[in-house]
Amino acid sequence: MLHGAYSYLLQDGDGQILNTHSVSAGLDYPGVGPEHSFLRDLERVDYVAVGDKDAVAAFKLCTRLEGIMPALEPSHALHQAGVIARELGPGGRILVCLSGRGDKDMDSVEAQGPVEN
Amino acid sequence: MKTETARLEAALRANGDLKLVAYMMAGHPNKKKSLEVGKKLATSGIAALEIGIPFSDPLADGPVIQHAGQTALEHGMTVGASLELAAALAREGIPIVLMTYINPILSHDPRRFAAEAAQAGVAGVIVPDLPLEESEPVAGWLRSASLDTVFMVSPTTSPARMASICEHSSGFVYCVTVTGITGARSELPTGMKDLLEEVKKHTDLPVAAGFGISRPEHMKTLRGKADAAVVGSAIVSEIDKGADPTVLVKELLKACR
Repeated sequence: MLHGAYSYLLQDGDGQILNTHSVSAGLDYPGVGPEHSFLRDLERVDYVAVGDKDAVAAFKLCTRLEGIMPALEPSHALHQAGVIARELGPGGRILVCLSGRGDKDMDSVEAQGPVEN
Repeated sequence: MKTETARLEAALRANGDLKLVAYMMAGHPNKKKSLEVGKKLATSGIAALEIGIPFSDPLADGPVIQHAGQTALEHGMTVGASLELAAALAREGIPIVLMTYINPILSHDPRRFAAEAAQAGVAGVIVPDLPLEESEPVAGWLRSASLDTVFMVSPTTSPARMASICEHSSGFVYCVTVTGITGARSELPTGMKDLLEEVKKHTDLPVAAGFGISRPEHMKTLRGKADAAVVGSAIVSEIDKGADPTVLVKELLKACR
């Protein structure tokens, strides 16, 4: 239970909240939204972890290929879309929700240095 | 609601004198020293000792108590070790009130927490981020272990909600005198007198004023208006400096009479 919400948390066995890190400010929080926690418990949604490097690479790839600069938050999903696309092969259809724009994240991306695509 | 023991209620009722509740953080500055300092406080003439169990995200606490909690956690303080400290200090004969947040209690298992706190000889528990409306089943387990469950009212509590908080609180009612976090303030807030009068209308339990109370002149102001004063940050600052906090406690007690 953190900030009044009962949900999945990054915490130790004594209920102490752990430090977080993410290149994306919107994900740099030890709690998971109650709605996501609920969807997970319903097994309606599979959740996977994506690291900073892969998210930034996906950000650059999308910007270069599509001319669309995604926010760093959905860039994590774009990376996973690439993983799933390789499994589905040509003709597979994937819908990704770009929940925000990446102009706001330029400084964070630049701080990560060059990423090879 | 009365518990079997009603120890806190008896200890905190003003009898002409204002009663003093001292706060300390378990494991601050480290395990060994907090036991030493706790023993000194327990026998310093205070009416009850409030022991904070450190939590990483203490949303009601100001910088001084936050820092004390962080230091305690860095030294490996746990809920279990805090309960052991409480047990050792309860043996000094002082009523102990634990103050912590709901997440460590949930992680510890609230039923086990209640049982172990009762076993330790603790009299009551304050959980600032446990609102009355969400307090079951945790409050029920505390009650069934004969522990008082102290709820808080603040300057923003509506009269209707104040009535309900007072009805469900046991041991005493904690009156947060400010809209903000813990921490010593030079002046007591204007409007505090009205707030305390309003709380008194809703309960026969002792009413303890807390947050921002740090100086002997504050004790004088509170006499006749509240049953007890809770002093936290000012005492924790002394402990943090390595000073003997009972020097301040003695000054405060003088002003309580």
